[in-house]
Amino acid sequence: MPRPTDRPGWRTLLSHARRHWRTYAVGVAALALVDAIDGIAVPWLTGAAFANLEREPDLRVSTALIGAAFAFAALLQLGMRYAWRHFFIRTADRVGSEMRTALFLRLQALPLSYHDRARSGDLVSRMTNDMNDVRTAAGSGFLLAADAALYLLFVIPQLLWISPRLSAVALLFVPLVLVLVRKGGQAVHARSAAVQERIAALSARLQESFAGARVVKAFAIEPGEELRFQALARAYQGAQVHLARFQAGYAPSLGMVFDLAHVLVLGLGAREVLNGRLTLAELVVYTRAFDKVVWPMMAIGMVTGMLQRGAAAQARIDEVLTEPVDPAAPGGAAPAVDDGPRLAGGLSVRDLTFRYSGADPARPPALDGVSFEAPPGALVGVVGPVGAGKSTLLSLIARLQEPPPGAVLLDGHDVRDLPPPALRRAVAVVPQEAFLFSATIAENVAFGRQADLDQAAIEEACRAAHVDGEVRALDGGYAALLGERGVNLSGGQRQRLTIARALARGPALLLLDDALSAVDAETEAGIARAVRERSGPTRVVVTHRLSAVRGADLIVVLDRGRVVARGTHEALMAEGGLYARLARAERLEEEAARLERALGDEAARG
Amino acid sequence: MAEATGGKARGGERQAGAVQPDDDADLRPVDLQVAWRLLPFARPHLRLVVLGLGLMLVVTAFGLLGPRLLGATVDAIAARDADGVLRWTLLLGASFVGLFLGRWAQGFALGVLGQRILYDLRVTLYEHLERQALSFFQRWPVGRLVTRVTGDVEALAELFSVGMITILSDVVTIVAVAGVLLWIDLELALLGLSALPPLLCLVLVMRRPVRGANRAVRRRVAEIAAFSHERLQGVRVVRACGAEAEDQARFAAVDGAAVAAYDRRTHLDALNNPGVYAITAFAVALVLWRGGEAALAGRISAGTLLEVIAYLNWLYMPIRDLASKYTLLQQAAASSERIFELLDHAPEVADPAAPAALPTPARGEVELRGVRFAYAPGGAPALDGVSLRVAPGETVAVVGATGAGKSTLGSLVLRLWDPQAGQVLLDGVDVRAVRQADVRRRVALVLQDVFLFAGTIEENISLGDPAVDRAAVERAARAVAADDVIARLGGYDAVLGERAATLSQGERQLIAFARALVREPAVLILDEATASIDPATEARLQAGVRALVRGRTAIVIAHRLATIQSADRIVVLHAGRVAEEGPHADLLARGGLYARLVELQRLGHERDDVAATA
Repeated sequence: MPRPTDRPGWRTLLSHARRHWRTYAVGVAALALVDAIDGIAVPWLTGAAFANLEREPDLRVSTALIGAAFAFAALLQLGMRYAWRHFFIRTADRVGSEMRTALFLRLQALPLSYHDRARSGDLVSRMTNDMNDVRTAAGSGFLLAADAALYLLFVIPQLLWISPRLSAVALLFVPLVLVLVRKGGQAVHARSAAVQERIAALSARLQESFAGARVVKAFAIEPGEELRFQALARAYQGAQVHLARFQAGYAPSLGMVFDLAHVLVLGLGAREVLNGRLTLAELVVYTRAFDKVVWPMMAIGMVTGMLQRGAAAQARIDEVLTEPVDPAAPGGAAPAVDDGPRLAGGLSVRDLTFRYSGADPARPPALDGVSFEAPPGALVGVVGPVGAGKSTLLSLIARLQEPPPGAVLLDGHDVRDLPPPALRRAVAVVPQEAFLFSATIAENVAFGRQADLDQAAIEEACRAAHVDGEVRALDGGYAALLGERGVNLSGGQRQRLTIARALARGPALLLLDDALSAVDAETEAGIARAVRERSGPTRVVVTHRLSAVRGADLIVVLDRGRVVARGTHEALMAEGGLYARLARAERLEEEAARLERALGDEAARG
Repeated sequence: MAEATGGKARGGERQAGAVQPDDDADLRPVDLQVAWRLLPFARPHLRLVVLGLGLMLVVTAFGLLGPRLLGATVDAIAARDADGVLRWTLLLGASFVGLFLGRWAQGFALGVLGQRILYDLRVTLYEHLERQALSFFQRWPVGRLVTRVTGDVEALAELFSVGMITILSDVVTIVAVAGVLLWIDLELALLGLSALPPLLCLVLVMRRPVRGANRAVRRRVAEIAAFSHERLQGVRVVRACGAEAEDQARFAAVDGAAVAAYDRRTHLDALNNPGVYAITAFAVALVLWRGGEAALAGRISAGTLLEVIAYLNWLYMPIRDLASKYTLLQQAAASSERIFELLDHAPEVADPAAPAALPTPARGEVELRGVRFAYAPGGAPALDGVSLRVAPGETVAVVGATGAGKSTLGSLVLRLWDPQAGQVLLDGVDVRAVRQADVRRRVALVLQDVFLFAGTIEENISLGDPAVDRAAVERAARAVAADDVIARLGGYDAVLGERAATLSQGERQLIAFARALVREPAVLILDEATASIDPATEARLQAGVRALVRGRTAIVIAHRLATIQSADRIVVLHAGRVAEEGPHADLLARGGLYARLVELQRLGHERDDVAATA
């Protein structure tokens, strides 16, 4: 059998106890006091009241004193109970916070390819649900374990000391209960799993039935659906009753075993009293102390489940924490020298070939021998059909994906050798999807540069992106909150805000990934002008709208990862080929859109 | 002494609070009105209810017997009465066995009762939901409906087990124990009962802050989840903007707020539960003092003193977890409110009280008379006075720009919606006058976006109709040329799970064609796929459409020129009205709306062709 610490998760889970051993130790001390009062003081004080009855009047202890001692013990317990909660539970919450933060930092630093694969819902669940299981294990779990151990430590020697003869019989039932608790726990677990399975089947069926409501209605198959649902609901009910049948007997039978053990102790103890081997008061102490053996037995059952769940959750968290980080993330493997060189924005792409990790090696690479040069301030257009590798190219230039060495150079430096902060400062990306965070507009525009962008710079960027007027018109203006509970922006507005976000950073190299698809051509031209007039960054523009790159210094036509043509607009049109065909498709599309608009306008007029 | 239950109370004290999905349930007072509405669901199981209540009394009685027998045993020991000791311990053991049997039977009876009621409730709710009109399903997110039928119904179980039985048994226990104590000794009883007012005070005083703290924890945890989720979705932006350090500070703020909320809850818990224990311990101290005196004075026996202390344990137990019971009740009440909200929702499209019959045999005539329909009452009409008669066997192609009201027209014939004005007639009978199921057996609908269930392909075509056998399914699939696609998917018994996602829109439509054809409807409504489709599938689709419309009335919301040209008649919908009507050539020659629509389509196709070769 493998040692528990060898199983995944356990080692980390226990390391929390080691790291916070001081606070846990204080908690255990407080707990020990509480348990000592419960397990020793209370039985003996109760016994003292009965001892009086067997003593000569002048040897009696004042019952008022006994009561007062009892009350004092209660007061002490009140304080100590507060203390152990403070030290155990709060420490567990610290552990939770540490793990959450570690997880967040790791997720931030993982390569984007990891995020493309992983489901964000699953990762969030590790940060919340799994974290909660770890918290419970590090709090209630550790606590219960300590509690059970302390009780047994205090009570068992007492029992043996008062009456070894009685204890020889009474303690026989301890292993019996342990087995019962363990077997019972397993049975409950198995039956609960069946319940979970059936409810999952029921939910899946419901999901289908509601999502497919149109089909269900249109074909009037409600009766059949109801029969299916009834069968699943019946199966679920069956599993629940199966579980209830066991649980109905389980807890009471545990109770009965305890109760009968108690009766046994009382009966045998009575014989000892009658034989003069014990006093009545000692028997009272014995029974009161024996009561306290019950709880640790139950606690052991609970604690194993809690720790197992905690370890399993910890293992899932560890899985993420041990993923290798992206060297391009700050704090990654790249040399963390000063700020790095000041960059002017000259870009060279040299024989860039790239294959996604895990891609089928039999298939052609995503990019195959792509080369082009963009001197500082140049405008490069990248066009091509869907799947040509345009977005991949931008990701590699921005080092969001890791390019091969020597393939992407900024002012002659390989982007892999630049310190990430310097790279991020020099390069701004406007992604295809206009992603904004649930924060104010100003925060979104200054995202990542909160410290060095003032309001004037934010507004200036928004003016250049032709969105300033609309932002001012919003309730709250630049302080308006975006997101679920905030204002809703149109797709075009969102896109222009992401442009503003890029412009606000004053980049030397600006990468636009089809970033203005929801903006009309006229506004797009205005934005392009504003971008050029600013500090004149080098621009690499991926676009489906050829008109946007008509005046480019260089247009690169990509198809299936290769450069199939390059040149200016005029040269490419004269050449015919893919570029000319794309241009024709675009004209057709514009015409169709115009016609559709005209029809729509007529429809609106009625 | 019932130590098992004592242990349970301690266990409860130490359980960490689970995160509840329902945020504001604990803000509202418990509205026990809803409990009355549940009573009809309990009525069919009246015998189990009575049995459960009877067993509760048995359990309470056996429970109360324990301390008395314990006292008698101790008295027998004190009196050195060996026979008495034997007698009383045997009786004590027997009472524990009785208690066990009573609890077991009670737990079983209540478990079965709860599950039966939940089954009835769940099926009633589901059947009610199935009767709702389509508009209902468009308003309600699927996930929320699923939660109501599963989670909320589950939470209701608490209203039965906690609400009805536990609270009742708690009240009975408190009253009975108080009575027994008063009967044993007035002074000791009053001392013991003196703990109740401060206990109740503590529970009441702490209730609000504790619930506030619990709510704060849930909110903060939800905030962490929301923040992390957004950061994961926007991870590319964070990386590109180099905003990691900034976000770490933001995360620390969100996380810090959560830790502070946890701390506040721990603080309150640490005052609350130990407070309850301290109060009861003080009362026991008083009893020990005065009881010890009384025993010394010979007013009570040693056994009675022990008995009183044992009874006190029974007295305080129900009050210790009063607050958590109240919270459970609130959640159950909130759940039942949500369930009844659904049950009270009358279907917008309902069968008439005295449904008429459609004439047989079916002719397949469809007529719209001055139909006006808007999706939102008072909103812009999707159809604005449409009159159209489709003769039996005729194929009508409906064309128009996006948003002209084409798809709406088909849905109205099936009576997925009711028009606000005008009439829809099927074989001369208003569809509102007949059963919905009768209409839908006669009219089949093929949608643009085909919904495929997770079952097998055969199930997806037969839709579980017992009248449709395998041979009919295969025949239909062959007729619409869907058999190739089905063979590629692994045959009729292949389960369409994840793989359904790999099917193109055209391929999905082929399966939907078979689904419609197998029912041999008199009228077919077909919403053609708009997406560009590869030439092979396109050819199959055209063959499928021909097989479908042959020998039946068909209204085709057409997007493909081939389909439009082969129709008997073309209806051009524009802004919810019939703008033009006639055969293809006539309409084209007129050079009006239809001609422009055809041009638009041609441009679109050409663009696709160019893009495909590009």
